[in-house]
Amino acid sequence: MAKLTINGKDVEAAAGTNLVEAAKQVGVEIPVFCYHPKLSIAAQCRMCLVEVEKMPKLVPACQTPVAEGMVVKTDSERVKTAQAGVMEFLLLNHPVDCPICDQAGECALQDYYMVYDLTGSRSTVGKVHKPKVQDIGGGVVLDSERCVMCSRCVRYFDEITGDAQMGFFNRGDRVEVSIFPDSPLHGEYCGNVVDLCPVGALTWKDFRFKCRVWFLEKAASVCPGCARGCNVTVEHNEGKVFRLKPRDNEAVNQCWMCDEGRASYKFVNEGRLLDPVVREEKKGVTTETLSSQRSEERKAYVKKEEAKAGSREPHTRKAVVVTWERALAVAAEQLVKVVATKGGAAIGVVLSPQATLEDNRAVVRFAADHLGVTAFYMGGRLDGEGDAFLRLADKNPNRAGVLAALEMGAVARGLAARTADDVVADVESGKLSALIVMGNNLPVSPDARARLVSAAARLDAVIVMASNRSELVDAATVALPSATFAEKEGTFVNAMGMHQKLRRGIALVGRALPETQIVQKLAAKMGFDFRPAREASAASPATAAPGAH
Amino acid sequence: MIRVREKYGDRMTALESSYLTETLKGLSITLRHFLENTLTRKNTVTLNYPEEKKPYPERFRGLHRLMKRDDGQVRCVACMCCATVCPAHCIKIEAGEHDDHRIEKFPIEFSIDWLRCVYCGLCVDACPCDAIRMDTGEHPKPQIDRNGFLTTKIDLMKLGGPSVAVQGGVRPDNGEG
Ligand code: SF4
Ligand code: SF4
Ligand code: SF4
Ligand code: SF4
Ligand code: FES
Repeated sequence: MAKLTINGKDVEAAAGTNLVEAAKQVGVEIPVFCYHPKLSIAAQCRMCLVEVEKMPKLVPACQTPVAEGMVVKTDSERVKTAQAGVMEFLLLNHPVDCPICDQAGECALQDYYMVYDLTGSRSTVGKVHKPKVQDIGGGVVLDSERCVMCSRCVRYFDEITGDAQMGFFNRGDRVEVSIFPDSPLHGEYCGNVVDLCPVGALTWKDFRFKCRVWFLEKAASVCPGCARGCNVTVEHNEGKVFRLKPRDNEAVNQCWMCDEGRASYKFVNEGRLLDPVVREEKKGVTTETLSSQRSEERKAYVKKEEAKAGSREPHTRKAVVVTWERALAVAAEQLVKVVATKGGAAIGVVLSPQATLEDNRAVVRFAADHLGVTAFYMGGRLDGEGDAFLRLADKNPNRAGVLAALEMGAVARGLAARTADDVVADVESGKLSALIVMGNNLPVSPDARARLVSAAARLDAVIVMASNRSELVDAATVALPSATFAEKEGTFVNAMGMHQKLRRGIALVGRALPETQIVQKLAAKMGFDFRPAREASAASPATAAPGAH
Repeated sequence: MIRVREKYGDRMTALESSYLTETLKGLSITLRHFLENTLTRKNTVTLNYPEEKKPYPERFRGLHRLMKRDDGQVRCVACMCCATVCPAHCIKIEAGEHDDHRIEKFPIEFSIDWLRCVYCGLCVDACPCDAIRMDTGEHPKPQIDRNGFLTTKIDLMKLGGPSVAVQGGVRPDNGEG
């Protein structure tokens, strides 16, 4: 430990801490471009120059470790002049493209200009121009003019992914950051350089021009892409999710996330199941009038459904968009009939590792306690690729949560989750005559999925709680729209067994509801006394993710 | 001019309470105004709009217009500054990637809801590109439904013209960019 003063404030910091971090402890901000806590020290931007007593020259704070008795000033005239000088250098050839720059609003150059510069340009010669809008691969767009040569991106590929994909070329004011010839960015972690870049030199193709950053609202959440459960913020506006950004959590993802995860919000905006749909055996059922903004989309959907249902002979089922009341009444009626004639053992319940711990727990309790179900299966998404950095092969964020939910609700009675392939086998063998499915699809081969869909037509009830449309939703007797991770509160348990909280981002899309509420309403329809929320919170292990804010 | 006679107490005379003379008095005033206004038009304050028009105040701004680049394209670069500052939230812009790298960003759609607009002019102040102006001196035409007031990019550009301000994205052709 070393004791020092920064701007007259006493600081105590561990040996080896640099002045930028030490100053942060007492709320003093030292401006930085090239410094990043996860990268090596380059000390090349000179934005962080500070005055240290007894040192003849200003020193870069990012490269200077704390020492006993140090007296540091970050706000003296000398420091201010140096900061303004660095800003003037950086802006000398900067295009100041802010109106068309995606970084505007979260740009270090903009923010620092307002604090450390605020003067006009003194240059009388034209600016040096460099190539703009270069698609350098990996979903990243490079604008060389906007680059402040901080080398964060270069060091990221050198040190974090270890495959040195970017470098500096040319010298003096012609210097340019770029990729190597004929080698576009590749790998699964390119998006991180966009976050690292303090300016708009690197922008993310998927997000470019979609929304200005100052319109975005942020909700702390967990990436639904894989079992790692990287901490993210869901950034959304007017009911639409625009991007996921990594959130610091040393124990899980540090400050990174993978590109697959960055794209894993798309299903929230597209192809949603907006209304409860009931498939009737007979024709001539009236479609109830509904008020919703997306009536056009829905009408087209229902029409398509009807056409499809009409062609599926001899089981002609007509898809009808109905109210929640009606959908739940039909589902309750079908379930009561199955339980009365064949017993709870004839019902299979597919749980979803895409849904939260609370939702799974509610479904387990409802099915095991009230319907007498003994057959539980693991749903979710098929395994994909994993690697040694962040990505795991299990593409479900909450498999451990499903197992935990089962343990609390059903393992005492000797129940365990079986695989999705078992669902297909049990449906085909006639062991099951009804299904309750959480999730859009089952993690089985396309062939098995097709067999399940055709076999499902013979079942007494197929009740699907899904957020998006799929073949399985088409085959359901009752399809109930459920909320995605971005629309609800809850917990995901990652592969390391950490319970991580999701905060609600956007409002519920269409008439979707979280599964917990769906089961609660269904139970009420069937006349059960069922309160999943209270039981759940009582039994929930209160282990918030470390670093979660 | 209307003459006001002060009366104290609310008792009417017998003649007054018969209403006969009072009604005739009233009718004669109406008749006098009618004849005056149709024959001499001495005291008329109304205008026979739209045949007669009153000049607007000198500083009346009128409807927005979207300015054009020298080659006739829209000047707007979809920076959203106007949509951000607009207190009525009546500007909707959908930004897109332009084929020309020197322009980079442009509005695929740009609409203003003239029913919601409060004609404050803040959008004009906010624009860094002289792309939107409120100097047409026109006001919205009556419409038969609300959607008629939702004015799209094409119509806003029809009102616009070239701007004398320096055009963004212009750079020496040094073989790059
Ligand atoms: S990098 Fe920053 S300062 Fe430069 S154009 Fe983009 S927003 Fe403006
Ligand atoms: S592209 Fe961005 S991160 Fe890379 S050197 Fe330039 S400013 Fe730094
Ligand atoms: S004049 Fe005012 S209210 Fe109308 S569009 Fe412009 S900013 Fe919005
Ligand atoms: S402020 Fe000007 S350039 Fe920006 S979006 Fe509005 S009209 Fe277009
Ligand atoms: S942050 Fe210290 S020199 Fe760049």
